[in-house]
Formats: sequence, structure tokens, C-alpha cells
Amino acid sequence: MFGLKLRRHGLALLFALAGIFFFAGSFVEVTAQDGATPIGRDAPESEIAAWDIDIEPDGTGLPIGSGTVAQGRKTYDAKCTNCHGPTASENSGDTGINPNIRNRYCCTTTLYDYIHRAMPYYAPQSLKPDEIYSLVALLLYLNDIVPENFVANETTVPAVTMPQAAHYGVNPWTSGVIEQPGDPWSHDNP
Amino acid sequence: MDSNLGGIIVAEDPDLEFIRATNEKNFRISRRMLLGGGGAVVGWAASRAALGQVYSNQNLIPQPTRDTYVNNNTDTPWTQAGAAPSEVGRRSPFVDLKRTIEISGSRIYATGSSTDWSNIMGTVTPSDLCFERHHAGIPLIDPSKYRLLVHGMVERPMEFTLEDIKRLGAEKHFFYWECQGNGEPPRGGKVNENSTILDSLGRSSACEWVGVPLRTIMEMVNVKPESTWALVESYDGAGLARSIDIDKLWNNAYLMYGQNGEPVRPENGYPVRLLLPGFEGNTSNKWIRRIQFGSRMFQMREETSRYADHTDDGRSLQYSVQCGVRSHIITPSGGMNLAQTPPPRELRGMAYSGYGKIAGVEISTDGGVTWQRARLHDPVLPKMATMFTFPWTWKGEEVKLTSRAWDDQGFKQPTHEWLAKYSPQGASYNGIETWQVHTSGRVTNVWS
Repeated sequence: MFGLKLRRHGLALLFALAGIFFFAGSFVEVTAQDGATPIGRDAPESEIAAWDIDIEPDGTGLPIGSGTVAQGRKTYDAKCTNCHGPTASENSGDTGINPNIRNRYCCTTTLYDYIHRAMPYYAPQSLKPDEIYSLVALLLYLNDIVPENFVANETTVPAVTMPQAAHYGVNPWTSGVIEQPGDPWSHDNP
Repeated sequence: MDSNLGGIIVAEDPDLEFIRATNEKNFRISRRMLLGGGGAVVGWAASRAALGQVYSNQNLIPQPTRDTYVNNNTDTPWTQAGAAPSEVGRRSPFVDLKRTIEISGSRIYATGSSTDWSNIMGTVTPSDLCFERHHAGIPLIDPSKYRLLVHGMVERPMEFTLEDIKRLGAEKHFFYWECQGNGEPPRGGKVNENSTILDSLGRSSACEWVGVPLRTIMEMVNVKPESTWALVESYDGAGLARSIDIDKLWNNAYLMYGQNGEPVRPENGYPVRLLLPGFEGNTSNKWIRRIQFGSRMFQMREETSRYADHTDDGRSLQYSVQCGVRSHIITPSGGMNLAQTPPPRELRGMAYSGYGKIAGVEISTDGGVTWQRARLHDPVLPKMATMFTFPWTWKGEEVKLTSRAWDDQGFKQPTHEWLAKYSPQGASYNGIETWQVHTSGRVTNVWS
């Protein structure tokens, strides 16, 4: 008799607890539309660490490593000349390196980020940090931004200011609605 | 502006041969993976003589290409049985629609293909004819391995599978989208008289899309109020990455998995792509993999070196992504010859605004002296291509045909002169376009 009562109370307690957990769960998964099966899950820390490859302008994300201009030449000769030419000055446009980098980059971190994520074209994300640092050193040297004895590492790279940096800015036409000045249908604008 | 995307290069370059060979090899591999054996086709060929077998055996599903029709008699097709049904339909063997492959000036860099709007009936681009632009080719993505990671300045970093995204509340929209290289800007004070509608509109398409507003996911991860920018990043070998402002992401951004009634095509972002209506295409990351919320631009290569406006006076304007108002007369247009076919009885074309809905299109047939309203064909939708027509026929005279459009947000499609002076945006070129019909019937592109 007593045992049955306990069992009954125990069951009630169990249901109450389950209800609390269910209720609490519904707060966490408040956006799950069917209320039963959650949509999405907490991102594992390991996944964030593995996937978060971007390098920010202040150097956030740069790994430990270093490379010299001379080492950069070796890496360049081995892995880059196929598309970019033997001296990095042959091409313009998409594969143009020198002097594109001097005029078309606001941040040195962009170089590290892009070489890591997208180069070489046939094997992206295959270069080691030291190789990438050496290429950054070479490219900055070839564009007359650092001296030949520059050693690129996680501290020195973000400390270099690109010559074009001060001339960068967001196009005002993108942010908010702007009225078209003048008469867009006139042929007398110039 | 990027001029390298301008030329269609048909060079006999060994590297290009290598690219083609590689593409063909990859295509064979992926087909083998995806399709399995091709025994049914062989079986069909062996038994096609016996008509009865064709219709009794459901495994034999002939494709209705011209040589597999039961009889090629096109004079009296009503006198014999036609082709069997097929699992995957094809266009008539008399219809040959293709994208135009483009290889940019660099040796082994981005490839793409363009939509020839003179082939498009109406405003929705068939999925297999939508333009493409890639920075490192098309990644092969197994949907069971697909994950979207959302992290950074959020209360709860989350990851989503394809099924997760499909279970969120869906929306359906018609949207046009265009590459930054869409449009045919004058160069050196002149327009290219030989340019065609492929040059001025080929790097754009318009589709029906199904997906989820990004807002839904931003609410789930609870984006922190101090976040002002986010990095969006793709699955491809370029890891294509762009910074997008937080207002756009809250109010006008979508994760799309459906395109014209089918899953998004691989070249357009299978299984999930970002779509930012009204912004130049390279910000609408295909194969979206990661969204990291932050409080400043991340300064990726595609927003500092490429896709920024490096002006003549030495400035570098970033985030020139807002597309303007455009209109194009498509029939007739450059490269056509009106003397070779019965001349059209009406002008047909398309108009679009990256800000809102097209409010009106006007046509001039006298070099811009007088203008008359074209008919807009419903539905007229925001940030979607709108079809227009205008009654007109060619009587053998020399004539200039011009269209100009405006939208419901107060924006007008500008003249070349206005763009040269104010150059408000580096996104796709949208200057008013004029086609000249010569007495010979030839149609060329002229300034105005």
C-alpha cells in the first residue's frame, strides 16, 4: 500500500520533472517551429576553431610562424609562377601581383588571409604558416612596402600600414537611400 | 571596375585546353557517382526496333533526342506513334539553347557562363541557362555533409544542416541577380558598336527562389546588438568571403535552397546559397558555409582588391554593391539583322531596379527627342526583372531605339553622361542603351 503510494508519487514527480525539463527545453528551442524536434544545434567549439579561418585587420586569427623575403622567393618559384609569372610583375588583373598589391590593398592581413584560403588555385589551404608568411614578406618587398630584410610574423605583419590604407572608404551609395543628384536623363552632365 | 571579365577569349591556349579537359574529366566522374550505370540506354538502343517492347518495358526510357524519336518524319508526324515519356524532359530537338562560356583574361582563373536574354521567353531564366561566375570552380557538396556555421557576435553559436534550414519557415520570391561585370560601359568615350544583349545583360538571370529569410537564423543565434557587419563565406576552393552590413542581413537577405521548382543548381549554389536582392552577385555567396558576426569589415581580398572601385583620383571605394535601375530592348538588339527575318511587330525588353519595383519604362524611336510609355507585363515585382513591350515595326528606315526606366523608390536609369560625372556605384553598369537599326537591317550599339 505504502509502496504503491510512493510509486504513484514517484511517477507524478517524474512527470512533473519531465514537464519542467520539457518546458525549459521549449525556451531554449523557442524558434523550433514544431516545438518537438529542435532545429539546429550548438556549434561545437572544435568546429568553430577549425572553420574560422579569416584573418582580421588587427591580426586576429594569425597563427604563430615567420618567413623571410628569401624564403618567399623559394616558395613563390615552387608554387606560384605557373599563374603569376616568374617575377610576379608579368600579369595584370586577377593574377596581377606587382604593383597591384601596393595600390589595391588596405591591409596586410588580407594578403595572409587570401593566400591561405585560396592559393594555390589547384590546392587551396595547403600552404603552411611559414610559407604564407614568407610569401607575404616577398610581396610586400616587391611592392616597395618593406625592406628586403623584413621578417613576416604574427606581430610584424599587422604592424605594417599599406600605402593605400588612408584612401579606403565605404561607397556612400550603398548605405541608405541617396537621391540622384542632377538630372539622370540629361545628356548635358559633363 | 574589372575589365577582365569583358572579353570572350577563344584562344588556343594549352592552359585553356587543360581546363577544358579537367572540366570534362570532373563531369564524367560526378556523373558516374551520381547516375550509376547506363545500362538502360544500351538496352533501349538494342530494342528500339521493336516498338511494342518500348512501351511495355518501363525500364527503357528513351530520351526524346531527334534520333531516338520512333520516326523522324516531320512532314506528317500525325501518322505514327511519337516518342515515349521520359524521366527527365528535354527541349525540342529543334530548340538549341545554350549558355555562352566565358573565360576571363587570366590564365587559369575564374570561369563563367552567360545568359542570352534574347533566348528567354518572359522573365524567369530556366535553371540550366542561368549565368554563372566562379572564383575556384563549382564545389561538389554532399547534402548529408552540408553544415552552415553561424558564430561570432552572437549569444548562441549554432550549426545547421540542410534539413534544419528546410524545416524553418519558408518564403518564396522572384528575384533577379547580376554580376558586378554585368553591363557594357563605354570605354574611352565610346560604346562598342558591336556589342550585343549578351554583353549588356548576359551576366544576369532571374528565378523563382524558395528559402529562409536570414533574419530567422539571426534571431535563433541571437545576434548581439553591437554587431554591425558579418562575414559570409563559401564552400568553394576560393573560400569566397565578403563583409555584409547588418541592416541588409536583417532586412533583405535569404538562404535559398529552391530555384525554379527544383533544388538550387550546383553552379548557382547547391545546396544553399545566400541571396541579397539588389546587391551585386558576388555578395550573394553560393554554397554558403559560414556566417561570422562582427563589428567592422573583415577586409577580404574580394572587397579590397577586387570588387572595390579604384577611382582615377586615387580613392578605393569599398562595398559598391548596390545595383541601380536598368532597362534593355532585347528584340531587336545588337548583332541582329532585321532584313533577314520578317521584322518584329513590337519591341520586347526587360527592366529591373536594385532598389524596388519598376514604375515605368519609356521608349524613344527618334534618338531621345520624344518618349512613349511601354506596356509593363504583370507581375511587376521588387528587385525582379519586369517584361515590357511596345508596338513598333521596322519599315526599312534608319532608326534609333532607346529605352529608359524608373522605379518606385525615385531612382532613374541614368545616361552615360550622368554616370561619367557622378559614377555613383561600381556595381553593374546600367547606362541607358540605344540600338541603331541601319537601312541594311543591321542593328548596332550607339551612344544615344
